[in-house]
Amino acid sequence: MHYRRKASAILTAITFVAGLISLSWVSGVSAAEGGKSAAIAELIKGAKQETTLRAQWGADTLDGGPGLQKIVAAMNKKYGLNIKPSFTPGANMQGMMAKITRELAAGQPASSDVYFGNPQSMLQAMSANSLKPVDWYPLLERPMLKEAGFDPIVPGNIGIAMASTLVGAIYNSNLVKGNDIPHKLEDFLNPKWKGKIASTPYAAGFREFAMPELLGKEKIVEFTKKLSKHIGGLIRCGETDRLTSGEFLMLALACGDQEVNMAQRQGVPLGYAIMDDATISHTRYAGVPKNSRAPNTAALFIVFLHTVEGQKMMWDIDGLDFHLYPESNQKKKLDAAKAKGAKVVISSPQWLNKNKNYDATQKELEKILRGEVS
Amino acid sequence: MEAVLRMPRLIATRLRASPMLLMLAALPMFVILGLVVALVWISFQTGIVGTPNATYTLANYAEIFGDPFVLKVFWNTIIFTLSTTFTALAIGLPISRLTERTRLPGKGLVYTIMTLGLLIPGIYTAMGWTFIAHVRIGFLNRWLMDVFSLDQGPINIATPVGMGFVQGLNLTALAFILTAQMFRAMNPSLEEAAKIHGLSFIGTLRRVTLPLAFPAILAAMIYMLTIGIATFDVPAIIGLGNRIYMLSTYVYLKANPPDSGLPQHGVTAALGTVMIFLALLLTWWYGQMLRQGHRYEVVTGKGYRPALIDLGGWSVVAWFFIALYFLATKLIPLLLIAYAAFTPYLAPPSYEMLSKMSLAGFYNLNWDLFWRGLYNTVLLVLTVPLITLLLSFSISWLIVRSRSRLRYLLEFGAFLPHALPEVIMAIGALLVALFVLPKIIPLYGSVWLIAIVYVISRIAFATRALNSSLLQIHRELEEAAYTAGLSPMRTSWRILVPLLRPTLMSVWIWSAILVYRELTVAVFLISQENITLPAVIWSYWFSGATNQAAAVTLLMTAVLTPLILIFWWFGRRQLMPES
Repeated sequence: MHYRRKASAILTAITFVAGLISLSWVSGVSAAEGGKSAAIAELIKGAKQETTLRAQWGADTLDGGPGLQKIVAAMNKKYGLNIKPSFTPGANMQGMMAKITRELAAGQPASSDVYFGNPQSMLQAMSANSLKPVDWYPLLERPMLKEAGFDPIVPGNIGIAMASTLVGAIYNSNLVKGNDIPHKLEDFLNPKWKGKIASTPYAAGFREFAMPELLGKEKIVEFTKKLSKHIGGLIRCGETDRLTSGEFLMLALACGDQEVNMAQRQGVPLGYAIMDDATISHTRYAGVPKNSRAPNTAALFIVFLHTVEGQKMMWDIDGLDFHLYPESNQKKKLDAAKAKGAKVVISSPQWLNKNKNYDATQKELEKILRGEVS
Repeated sequence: MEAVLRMPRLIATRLRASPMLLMLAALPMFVILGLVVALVWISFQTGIVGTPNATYTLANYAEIFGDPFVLKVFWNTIIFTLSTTFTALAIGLPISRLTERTRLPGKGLVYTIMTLGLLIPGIYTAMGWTFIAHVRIGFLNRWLMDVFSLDQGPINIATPVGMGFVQGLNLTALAFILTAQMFRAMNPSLEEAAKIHGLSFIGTLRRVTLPLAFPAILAAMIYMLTIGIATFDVPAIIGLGNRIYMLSTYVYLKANPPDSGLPQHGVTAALGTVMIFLALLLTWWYGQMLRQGHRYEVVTGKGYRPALIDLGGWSVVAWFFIALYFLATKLIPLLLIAYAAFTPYLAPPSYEMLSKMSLAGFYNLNWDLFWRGLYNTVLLVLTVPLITLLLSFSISWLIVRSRSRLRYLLEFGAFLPHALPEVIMAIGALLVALFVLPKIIPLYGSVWLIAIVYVISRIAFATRALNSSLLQIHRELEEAAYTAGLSPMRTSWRILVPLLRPTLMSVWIWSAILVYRELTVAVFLISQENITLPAVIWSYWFSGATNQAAAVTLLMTAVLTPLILIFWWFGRRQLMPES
């Protein structure tokens, strides 16, 4: 009996403590949720004063104007807004960052209310101080997964990662088949490709491979010198028409797999091969220019892209999503590479900052590829 | 009686330019001066120009003079430019002679062909020629490989000479228009005399026609050399991918680094500054050629009518030549545009690809962007030629009628923009609008900023044409009008404008067409509010959406062709010689 009472008392105490803990957890959660709601509500309130979201980036990013229209329509529906999207094609990510910085210095509004960048341009933004710090985590609808050695928030809170894409080779799948499909960097030097393959003028992929934790500068410089004599020309990552036309059979290496993800859905004869040497994930970032004319809408737009719906739209529209979300298609590819034991690197401004010779190496590789040095 | 005695002084007073005329002539000079100053200022900077991050340095000059790659770029540009000029003249000269000096049947159609050619952006001529003569996918190469059992295509378009050939085809229409006037005015009596003395057609051409036409051809050649140096689209489409760099594409890469760094406007401006010196040289040479022109004057006075040559059976050969030109420069690119617009991706024409044709390229267009581009393009086409004419008329009047030594400065100032690459002018205008003007005139991001650069860059062409025409109008007519009490403005309107109408129409049409298809300036100055249709096409093409770029080109051509034809019909009535 005594034991029964004692057990009952202990059980009651445990229940009480558990109740207290769960109560405090629930209140904590709802306080956090409340904080989130308040932060979002504040953005929505601000966005209601802003009528238009002006966007300027490469016409292939998020499918340009039509993509922007779809995303803004979904965002309007979700947050009860009536924002009008206005898209104008612009320069590449570095070029747009320079433009926004120049406009900020001249006291002009930014050409684009939202900024999309890559790790290099975010590094540029860090030194130019041209993007607005935003406390991103409280605004996000759901938590992200953790990735060792990778922080999705740009130092100073000036931007947040929103998508990842894997570096590899794009090939014309009508003309490159079976064993001809490359799996290693050395495969590009096969004599049968002499003069028939292309690379990028900015050494996409090779600049990352040249870092010490991957293949190292010496090896990649030597490889690039051989490749430079082997390729027929230089094209940009988005110029897949020059592969489908047969002008070039392969692009070694491409910036990411999004073009091929999209092309394959439309029956375009393109394939994509990730190298066994290592897997590099390029990260895409977003931020709000300090001189944005619609800073609340811009932040809300970025937050929306992190929702389940937003990520799905990005995948449907641009063949991209963010590997730190469980449903991500890019996560599956990255996990598959990890499972094969490949060395994986996630490119970020922090990673670039760590590799101080990255910029100089890229410039050296570019010069080799352009034929400026042999 | 007293009034008559006072007349010479009155005339002298009135022949002095009105303040309005002086102001209109001086305005573009100030803009040109501003651009040149901005260029020199930028050439000494690195970092993001105009921001506190920029630093002053001589490194930009060290880079362009110290880098052997830049020398290679210069060398490529020289070969490309010579090839361009040679091709344009080799095709344009015979066509203009055939049109102006012979009884070629259906010559009205030649004018239409030459004008329509300008509607097709150079991007597509370049792409068309990639399909014709690319070393691997060009059908001409494939055919030659099959016929002669070759391992590789014998023609390589991706060389400075090959690209110059393609650009030369683009400039043939310009060569035609620049030399047509000369053939129209040339007195045929010397040719007839040569014929009577037994010289063959080739002999007459070599010993009489070409020497007589030499100054005009040389002037046209210099004019096209300067265009060749600044050409962007063909070197961008064919050259960039094949690692053949010209000055324009080198400047573009410096101003828009593909992925690894900030725009190097300083290097661009340093190159521009060097090119101003080249421009000075070319302008001086051009001036010398024009001054020596009188030695070759054989045009008679009133009642002069050039006799037209009967071609007989040679008409067929002539038309075959024109048709071949039409096929290579107009029809194939236009067909390629249509093909690319209706196919889902670019691949060599095949039955499979034809079965995939659809309207998807049009459905997927950003129509809001298209309408914005169309609105701005139409606005520019309507305003720029008008302003160009107004300013150029003022400048030309002062150059031709004034006795002041300052007229040489005006002449140089008017020609200088032609020799300055438009990329350089665009960057100069951009920075002036951003950092110098915003508090005075908010031009940044507006269509008027593009309009100003267009006007400045067209003044050289317009003043060349107006100078020649004004020289042919004797000042007695103006003096008579002043005597009759007309103000300088009314004199210009009632006397000069009607007499200059053919030239004014011609300059208007050509300026409108060049504005309509201009790309380089627009690419550098586009923003939300001022994007033009060529810039829309470029941005689609640049991002790999070739079929959408083709769809916009097709729409653009369809929308504006009737307007151009109407313009041309009115203009042609003034321009065509009586047969």
